[in-house]
Amino acid sequence: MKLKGHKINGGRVEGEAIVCNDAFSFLGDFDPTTGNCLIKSPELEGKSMIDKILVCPTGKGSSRGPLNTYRAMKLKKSPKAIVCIEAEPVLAAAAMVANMPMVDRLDKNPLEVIKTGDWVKVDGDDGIVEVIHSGNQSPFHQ
Amino acid sequence: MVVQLTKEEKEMLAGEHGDAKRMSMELLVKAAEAYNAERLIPIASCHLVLSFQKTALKAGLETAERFVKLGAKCVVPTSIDTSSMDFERWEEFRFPRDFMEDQFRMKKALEALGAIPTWSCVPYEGGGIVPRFGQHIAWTESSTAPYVNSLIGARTNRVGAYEDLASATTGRTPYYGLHLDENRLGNILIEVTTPLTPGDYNVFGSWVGEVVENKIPVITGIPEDVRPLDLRYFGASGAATGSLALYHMPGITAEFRTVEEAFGGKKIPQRVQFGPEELKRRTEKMSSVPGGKMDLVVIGCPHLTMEGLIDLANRIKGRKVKVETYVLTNKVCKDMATEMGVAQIIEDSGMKLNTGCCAWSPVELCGFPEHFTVMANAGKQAWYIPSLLTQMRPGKVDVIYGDVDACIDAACKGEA
Repeated sequence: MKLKGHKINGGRVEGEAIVCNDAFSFLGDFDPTTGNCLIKSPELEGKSMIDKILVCPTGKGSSRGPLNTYRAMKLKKSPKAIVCIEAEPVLAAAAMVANMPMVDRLDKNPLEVIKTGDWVKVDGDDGIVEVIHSGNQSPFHQ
Repeated sequence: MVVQLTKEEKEMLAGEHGDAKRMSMELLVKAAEAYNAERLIPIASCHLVLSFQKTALKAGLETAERFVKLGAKCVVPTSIDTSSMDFERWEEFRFPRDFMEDQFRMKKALEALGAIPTWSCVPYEGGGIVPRFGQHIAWTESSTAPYVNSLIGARTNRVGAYEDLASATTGRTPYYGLHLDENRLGNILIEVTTPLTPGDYNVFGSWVGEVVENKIPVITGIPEDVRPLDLRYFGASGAATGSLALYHMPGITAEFRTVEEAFGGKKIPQRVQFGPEELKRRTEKMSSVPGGKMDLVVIGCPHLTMEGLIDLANRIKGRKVKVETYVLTNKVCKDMATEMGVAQIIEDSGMKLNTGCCAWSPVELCGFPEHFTVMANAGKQAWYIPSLLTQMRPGKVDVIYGDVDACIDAACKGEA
């Protein structure tokens, strides 16, 4: 399925989605030294975000978030891209300084369409997100 | 949308004013494109958050030193947010030596860039800039943005780290979001139907942050005698649990006189109430443990300035604390408090002034046991300490929230 949206930051990547249903902050919800998610929920806590596509509603919290994505990028522990309902300045800066393609304002709600584990292609240049459901994934890819 | 740049901005982007300005301009143009900003605008001042916390400090330091090497300078008055360490008492407070070295390198780099060494999340009461109503600025730090936008009526987005440095060294910010009249109108009404104590503004702020997300709340039911100090706690808490950057309290904040005005004369799209029940439920959520013994008490997030320090001295005079207690403030206020004798009263109680430092840094860095408990008087710390610090270090950190009086009592008794 292809979703059309709006470019926040350019670049084309693909990877496995990690879906967070609440507004996300790279300071508080993410550990740049391990690349792990810190959100206290059974689905997310301790889960690696390295090379994943973060799917979330928007950003929140500390303006220091971009420091953490930059640090994570240097340590190769950063997510690969961000897909969100509507960007927010701090989350957008976090994507820009760490070279993460980022797309928002899609024609469908990404939180309803994308599930954690789905393979997602993000085209930041044209603002397009393609979702390949995990139902199609190889049984060895678990 | 193509961002319209002036001749000078085009030159900066082309590298004709050096590599630092080119990199800065590239980031600003990217941000402008992302937000469909038609152009950049000049800013009058800037507030930087580059220096903070173990991992983020390394990231900020690398960039700051690179900018220094490239000969960059802040071209508008630029203040600096909290450090993660007291530059004078770091050894006494057990800050690790390697961290201390990085923090001093950061200090040197930011001074070389020409930033004002406020080292405070309350720079406007610490030798930094006080913007005027309607002035375009680029300020980071989640708690300063709601304060200067709402109480003063200056105009800033919640600028992220790096974009702040880009703005400071070029004097520009993308013209979008809260810089535009139409984006400053309220879009959710919050009716407060319960009396609030000064400490309750932390609780109310934490609740508001979660409820409004990216919206701009118009808030009624706040008494006229509310102090800026209380609203500072409110904004800091709301910007931690959510992304509160601007709120209107007609008759109290700067921009609008009435609720109708704050909604631009339009129909109110959403209404919520904050009553005794919401206050009770959110208060219970503030602490990760209901009470008991604690290992550390931190007072002042945002930094206590003169009003808060004098108030604290009056309350603590003649008492002694049994628990390590840090009072966070900035250098200008510490110097004045010292001159007034206020600092001595606080120190005589056993509390320690931790100057220029963020309330959570000692919790992260100063060698506390693996599982320990902090008591804090701030909604922002109550939110960040258990969520972040528990994960950033081995073991577990619990937090007990209480207002200043509760923190003093607990520090003197050794438990809450």
